[in-house]
Amino acid sequence: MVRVRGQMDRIKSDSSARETAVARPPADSGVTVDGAPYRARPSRRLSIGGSIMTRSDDLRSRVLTMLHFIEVPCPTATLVHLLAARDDLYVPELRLVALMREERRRYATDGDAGAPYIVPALYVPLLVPLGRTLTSTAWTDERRLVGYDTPRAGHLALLLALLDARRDARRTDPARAERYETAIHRLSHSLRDPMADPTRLQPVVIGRNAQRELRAIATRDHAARQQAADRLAAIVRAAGADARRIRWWGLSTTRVRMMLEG
Amino acid sequence: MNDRETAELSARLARLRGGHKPSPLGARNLEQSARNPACLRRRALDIAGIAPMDIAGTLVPSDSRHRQSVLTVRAGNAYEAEITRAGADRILGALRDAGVLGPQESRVVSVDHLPRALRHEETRRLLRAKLRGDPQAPNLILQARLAVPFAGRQEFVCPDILVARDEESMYAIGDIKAYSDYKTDPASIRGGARQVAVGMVALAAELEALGTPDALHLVPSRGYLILQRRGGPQPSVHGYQLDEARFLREYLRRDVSGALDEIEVLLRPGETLIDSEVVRRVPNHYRTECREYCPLAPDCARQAVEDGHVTILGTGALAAIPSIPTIGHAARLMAERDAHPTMLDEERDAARLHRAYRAWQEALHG
Repeated sequence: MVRVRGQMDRIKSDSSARETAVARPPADSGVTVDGAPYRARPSRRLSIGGSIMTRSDDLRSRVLTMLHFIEVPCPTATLVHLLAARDDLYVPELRLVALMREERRRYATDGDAGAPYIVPALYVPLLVPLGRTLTSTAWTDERRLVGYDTPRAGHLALLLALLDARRDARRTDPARAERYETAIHRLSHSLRDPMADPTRLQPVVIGRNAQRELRAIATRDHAARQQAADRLAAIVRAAGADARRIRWWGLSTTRVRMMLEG
Repeated sequence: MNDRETAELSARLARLRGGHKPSPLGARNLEQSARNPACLRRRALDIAGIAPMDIAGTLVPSDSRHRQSVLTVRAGNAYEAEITRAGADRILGALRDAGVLGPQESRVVSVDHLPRALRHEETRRLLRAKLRGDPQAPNLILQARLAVPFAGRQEFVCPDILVARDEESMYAIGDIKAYSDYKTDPASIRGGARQVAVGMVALAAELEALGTPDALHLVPSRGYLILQRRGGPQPSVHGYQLDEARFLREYLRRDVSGALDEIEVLLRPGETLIDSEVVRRVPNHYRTECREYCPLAPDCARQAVEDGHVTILGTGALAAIPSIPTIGHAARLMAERDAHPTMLDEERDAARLHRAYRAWQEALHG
């Protein structure tokens, strides 16, 4: 069994250890694994299987920071790559799904005192929550809505943000820039030049293709979301005591079924 | 079928299940069920709503061939998740490269991210939009939930993708399989393609429920299998002309009351099809092809060997002497020993056996 000596004892004594995400220790931490120095780049198994734990609060703040960095609704599966690229943090996707549940409980306890919260994106046609797409309560309603074009438009915007971040990081933090490149490479299959070497990153081609496609779909995506945001605002105004719950977590399934059947 | 008849049928089927809830069959079981329509054993389980996989474990406990490997299931799920994540980037790219979608056609809905209770309703709403010719209808629907009537109840199938260009009037069906697009067993491809055909039938059934008569004409007859390129989770799109959807539809629509009468005659009071011994008494129609897909096949094969059924010699033998049921009877007829053909068909097959026997004797002795 792989154990990170020294760190494990601290974790065992931490009562919040079960509220965990999996993080990689810094390369110069002096940590050893089975007597050998901890590898600079852990294997996928090690990073997912769990080496070092971070508190739930820490994960929450990192996710919120990441959401504010990208400013588009983000599927949990993509967020896994982004946290690995930006923060060198390896989190299983299901941990992020669980974080959303915790967030709802936190809201029930703390109310607005703990704002902003991580909340699910709302699906434009029905205004119901999309289980695995994260947004922040700090955003406008329109930004938290996901229509038919939004998954693609959001993905393209995200890639452009990553390309920018990579360019900045190349000057200041080459290791982070390299991680950004890995993420860009994994997320840009439909935007690459099929004739070029598939193993090499094509930042210029990806950026150009992403911008071109985003220009074509952004307007209709924005219009659909704006319309839905107006609809949501009207429902929230009429909701009374339920207003906040509906605004953050959308309409209930029962209500939508009644609407669809009626 | 009116409400009273439906309720009566449901009660009869519930008795066969011993009061248990029906297991969801899914596209895989529905397509398998239609492969050998003459097999009463398989049909009995399917119409009763008992997953053949559950019974197979008790029929032949030592045989694990009917079970899908956990590793295979995991690999399949991981591949599907990988190519549909990140705004469905990989699968959109593959569909564009294959010319199934245009460069700006990127409207995606993932129905399985919606609350479970709304998935079917939302699928119907999206189909209505496409039927209306709404230019804003999605181009790609992931994990749509479609209902298909079977044996007086609704079975749900979830094709991995429904895909259509803006100008197309209806979605084509596609299924994601983690099989390599290189040297994959044709049986796996056949099974996958037939599952796509079940999806087409289910889509037509939904459209008919929405008021479109004979909607199978509207569903594109070309379906897609999204396989995996060699060396990594890269999708490759393969189109198939699936005309067999029409036969599948006829099979799924067939009245089950005749088969039900036959099954009920075989059951004593209080017996149900949950009991493997009872299932064993229901006659099968074993063919060597059954081994390709049916979890009950090992037990049916064993029974065919015990009975000396001609089918164990292969499809060729069965086609040559279709009226002669067992190898022993065929041997007796061939040697003209203690057996005489009674029916016209049997006489014809016996004559064929005699000719073959004489040719064999001549080849041996000159």
